[in-house]
Amino acid sequence: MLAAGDAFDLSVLAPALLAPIGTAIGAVVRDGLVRGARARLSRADLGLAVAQVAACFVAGLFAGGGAMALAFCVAGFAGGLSTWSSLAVDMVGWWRERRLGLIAFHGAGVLALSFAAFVAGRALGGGAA
Amino acid sequence: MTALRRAFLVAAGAALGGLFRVVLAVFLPVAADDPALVAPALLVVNVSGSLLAGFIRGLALDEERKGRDPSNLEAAMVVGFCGGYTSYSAFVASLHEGLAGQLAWPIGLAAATIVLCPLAAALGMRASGRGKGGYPPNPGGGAGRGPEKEPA
Repeated sequence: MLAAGDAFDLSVLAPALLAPIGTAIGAVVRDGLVRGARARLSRADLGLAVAQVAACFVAGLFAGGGAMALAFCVAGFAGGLSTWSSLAVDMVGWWRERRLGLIAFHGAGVLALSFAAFVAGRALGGGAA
Repeated sequence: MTALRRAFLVAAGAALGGLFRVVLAVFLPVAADDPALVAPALLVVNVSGSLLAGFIRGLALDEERKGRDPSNLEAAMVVGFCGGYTSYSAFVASLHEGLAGQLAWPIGLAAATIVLCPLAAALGMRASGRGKGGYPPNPGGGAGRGPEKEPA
């Protein structure tokens, strides 16, 4: 327990605050990408794919960073920019509509691109790829 | 709904979801002093988030059917909370870490995530009463537009 005069170590609390802020910003950007792709290309899934790949690049870029960068950029922004839940719900819809090509594209193609983006980000950010 | 209101709902939901994810998939493994727990914790987060997203999407579709506008619910909970709670980039980072360390579990983790997340979403929809009625047809007909009005 803290006593009067004790210094509180903000470095413990900061990541817990930065990650949700970064997540919120990432999620708003993702929503913008999905809605933009739906409005302009009639392909909401492409907006989601761009968000996933970009998030993995950002995660790789800052993976070797300090605690603040990890909290805000990797756990926060990249975590909010990318998502599994929306992809999973969309996959159910594609399965029921027998759009197996879309499932393969997102289940394998986007995963491979995302992995490559993460490796590229790590290389650019100075981390070991 | 205005763009600003939607952005606020998405951001608020995502901040809460992100906090839950960080606590479950980062802080708990650190507290347990076992980094190997990160990957299974992340799997649990992604699968449970997909289950919840499916459930809420089902509820939203039901609201829509009743003539009510579910866009607030979807923005805050599906796009925001569940989107912020689950993470594709953390999944890829975990996969990369496992492959770089030549561990046996990365392929299993990837396969389990890819199979279990959509199954959990389908289960969530079924639990909310949408399973038997089938997924509504894509109103626009374009590939990838998503089956509902507001794909996240």
